[in-house]
Amino acid sequence: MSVLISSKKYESISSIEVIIAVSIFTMVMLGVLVSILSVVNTGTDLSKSIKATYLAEEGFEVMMNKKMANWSNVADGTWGLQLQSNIWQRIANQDVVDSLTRQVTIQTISNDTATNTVRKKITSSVAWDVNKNFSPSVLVTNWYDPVVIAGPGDWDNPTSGNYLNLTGNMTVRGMLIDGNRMYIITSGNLFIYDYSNPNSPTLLFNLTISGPLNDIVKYDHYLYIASDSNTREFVVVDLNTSTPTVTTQSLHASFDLNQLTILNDHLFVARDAGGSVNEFEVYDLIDPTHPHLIGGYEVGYNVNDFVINGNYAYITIERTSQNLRVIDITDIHSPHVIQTISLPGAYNANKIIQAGNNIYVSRVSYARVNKYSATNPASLTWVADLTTGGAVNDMDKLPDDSRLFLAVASTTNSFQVVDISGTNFTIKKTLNIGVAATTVEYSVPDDMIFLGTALSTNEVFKITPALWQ
Amino acid sequence: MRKYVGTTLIELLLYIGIVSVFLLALSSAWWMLSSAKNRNQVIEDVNQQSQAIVNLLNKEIRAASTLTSPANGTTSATLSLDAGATQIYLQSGDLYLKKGANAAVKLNSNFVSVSDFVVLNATSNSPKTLVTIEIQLTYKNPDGSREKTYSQRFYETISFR
Repeated sequence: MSVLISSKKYESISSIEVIIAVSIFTMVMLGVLVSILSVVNTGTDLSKSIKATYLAEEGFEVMMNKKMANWSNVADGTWGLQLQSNIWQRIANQDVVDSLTRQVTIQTISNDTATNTVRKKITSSVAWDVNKNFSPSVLVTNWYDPVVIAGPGDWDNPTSGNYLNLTGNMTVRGMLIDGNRMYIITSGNLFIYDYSNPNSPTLLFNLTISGPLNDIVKYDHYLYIASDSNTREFVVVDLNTSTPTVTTQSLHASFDLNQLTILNDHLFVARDAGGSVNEFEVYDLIDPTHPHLIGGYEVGYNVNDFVINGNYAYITIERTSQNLRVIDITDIHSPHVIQTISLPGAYNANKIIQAGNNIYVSRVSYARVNKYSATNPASLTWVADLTTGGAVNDMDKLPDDSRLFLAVASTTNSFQVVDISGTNFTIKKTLNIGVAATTVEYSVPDDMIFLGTALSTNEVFKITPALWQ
Repeated sequence: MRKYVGTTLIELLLYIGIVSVFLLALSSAWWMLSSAKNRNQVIEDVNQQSQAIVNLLNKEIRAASTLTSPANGTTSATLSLDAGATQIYLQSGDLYLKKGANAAVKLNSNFVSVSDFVVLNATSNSPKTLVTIEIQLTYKNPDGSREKTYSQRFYETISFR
């Protein structure tokens, strides 16, 4: 009996059975736990995956956009992308957004020098966690590059070089680039260049015109040139003929013409004072060879320059005080002054340019540029003064109003780049070309600047921006 | 003798203990699965909303001719295209699309709220306008459940065509 009891006792669960049971139970529970964790992480993974898709797309969009600006922006290499001062910039290697790492890799696939066709592969790769990666690629070519209007390069780091040597000993007094033509006026000549290849312009015509010549504009197939030559101060160059024909005339009154602007089929002129003649005038161009006076405003002093913005013209006067006026041209038949300002410092006002809601005025024999806010044209407010490297003979700007270019009457500070994107303006770069600059002209399609001088040879310099890094 | 063949109290307690642990584990697993399902549903809702909004922004921006606001290099809480003919803006936690004189249409569902809608005009010097958008979507969680508390920030950059 005791044996039976004892045997029953030993038939119960053995240690091995317990271990096996516990192991099975543990494995089942582990499996369940892993499954649960997997389900829990599914949502997070999906979220990161979608984020990765957006970031990769962003890599393409930014690079393709930069490619539109300049093909050189898609340089081979491995890059990250980063917003710096609200501008996307390439940075070395990679960038990290919310623990996702992005790398944009650019690789040249083929380069056909005969057709100047380059193919590149852009891979926008985003990695997260361990071994999780999304790496789409696109192929791009530079086919768009030759016809695209390139955006500006890095104008804070420009370089200069000789460009044109005009026939004779000339002083460049104005330049105009229009399509495949470059027009240059000097003291007594009009040079017309074939500008089809901006890097190698060829002279087409050298026309002698009584000067000195002060400004040049183009209207339809006519060039209008402002001259100091009395009774011949308005020059019309007819470009309809194979050889341009030059005619001169007195425009209403025989006093020097200083500045011309075409706006909405009207010609606006600024001239020297004399008699009771209006120094600021408006002409219609119904007959393009003989403008017809329709309105004017008598300043009483020489008007050196003007700029028109909306219904207002801002004129600079050759006077040491009360030398900036705002003219309301809402009714072009009857322009009238709405404000007169004395610029800081007793120096004549010279050139004027508008950028955004601000106007910038240079001075005669005074190394300053004055900045005024024209948000309310009837009440200009002074914003800041910039001390330049010399008196400023001419100004131009980038189309996005971020930089002002100065042609300076200084042998060492001939060309200056000014940052005008903020309230206060600062000089970003000064170039020493060894001679005073007389004119400056920015060519939008080519992103190049031409600087005129009074040198006896190589009168025109070319200034080009650095490539964006 | 029969007395020894049956289940002892200790064995019974042991079985009850094992079954209890097993049931506890099962109920915990069930609870975790249920929470995970709810959370995944929340994440799915937010992600779907983000995709719908980003797709719409893509479509509107690529079809636009001009970016009216924000100005180049600046940010704004309103995206204004084609002189204001198309506007996308944030109002009281909802994102709206307004086309011309038509009534504004809400872009997000009632399940999520939108915050930090920041539009950057990153065009710089490019001939093509470049818009960078940052947006945060938060799942509305009126009962305050821990697993339904979810917020996600998305970034997208779109270039004009």
